[in-house]
Amino acid sequence: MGRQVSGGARPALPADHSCWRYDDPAAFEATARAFLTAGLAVGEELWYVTERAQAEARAGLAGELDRSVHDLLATALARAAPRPVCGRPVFEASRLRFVDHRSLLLLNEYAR
Amino acid sequence: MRTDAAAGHRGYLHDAVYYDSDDDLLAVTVPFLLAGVKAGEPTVVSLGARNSALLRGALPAGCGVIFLAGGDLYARPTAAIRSYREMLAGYVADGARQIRIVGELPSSALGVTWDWWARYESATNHAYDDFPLWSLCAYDTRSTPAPVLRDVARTHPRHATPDGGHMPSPGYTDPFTYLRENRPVPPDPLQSTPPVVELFMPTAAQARAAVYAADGGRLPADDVEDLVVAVSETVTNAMRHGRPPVCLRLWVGTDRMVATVSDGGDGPKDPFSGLLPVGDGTDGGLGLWITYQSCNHVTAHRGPDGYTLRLTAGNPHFAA
Repeated sequence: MGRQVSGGARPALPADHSCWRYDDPAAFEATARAFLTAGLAVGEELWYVTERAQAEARAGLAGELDRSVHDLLATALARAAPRPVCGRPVFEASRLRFVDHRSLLLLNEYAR
Repeated sequence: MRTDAAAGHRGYLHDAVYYDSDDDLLAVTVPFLLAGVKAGEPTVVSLGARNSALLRGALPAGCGVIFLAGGDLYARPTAAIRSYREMLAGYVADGARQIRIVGELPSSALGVTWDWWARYESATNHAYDDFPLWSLCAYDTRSTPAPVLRDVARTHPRHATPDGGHMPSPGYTDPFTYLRENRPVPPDPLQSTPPVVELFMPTAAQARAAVYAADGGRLPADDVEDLVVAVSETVTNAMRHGRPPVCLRLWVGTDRMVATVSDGGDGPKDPFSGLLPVGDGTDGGLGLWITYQSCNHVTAHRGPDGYTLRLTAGNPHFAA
């Protein structure tokens, strides 16, 4: 499969669980970006995690994080378990529109 | 060791000063400040520009009294408590056995936002009691409204007199009692008009979106973002700790936005909620404290129908 991603960028359904196969990281990133953008456009809460082959894993936070997704964020952090960069977890947050103090405390607790 | 009239006292000694002339103000404050300097105590003045200049002129040059920019300190009550506690903790860490402060609130605090400054004056009796602090809070009886002076008497255990006396305030009320009372709050004239938004049982996300949509670019972006945070926190608290029905209402004026968040419950049990953090935040207790630091005025009211917080972004000093 050349420069393709199976599945495509479609809005999420309730309790939907997609699996994408890809052979080109750039194509995957573009598709993932479109998927996340579609979610943002309809006001969905969302997060994503990218795993790189290097000795770092960077978690991305996007959308709005408040108490309604507190448990989901805790689960996401536990499952994604991003490896620290220079001793600290690093979160890509350029698409994070809002974060409340409870989520910040949770991230701080995770960082410890 | 504490000095002068504070000898033997532990914690905070909180005196009001009522004055109706420059001479009266100086008669109380100058000996107080010079005695602090002489004893080697951190001795601080946090007055407005006029009275700071008056004191500077009356004190010996280079006498060691520290002058703060009072206007910045007294922007919001919760921020003032934070700033003062940090300053006091620093002096104690440096070995201070007593700290003296002469302060005054800006005249704007004595108007329609007085209710939260009255709560501040009461809360400080507890909030500063960790420190060997002795402060004089100056109030000009020529310009301070009578209801404000009544609250000053209820929130200051004593008042200092020009002859060097320190008289007990007969009406002093413990903050744990005072802070549980409803403070009289003038209704914002905007509230006599239909709200531009009325949401029942909103999610925090819906509440945040409503604030952004209602603003329409009227207020500075920072003010709107602060109100978004405050509304998000109060709606979250109401949905989590209050009782239905939770309702968010928004009004928009030319220079401010006003939000009310009401629920059918009794409100927070901690009388210092909003003014001091409650716990370490792991089990709540920070939302209202953050809200108080994010708005230019916050009022709280308990009534037969429940509990209502009113949050103001922009200019809170409407004509009553």
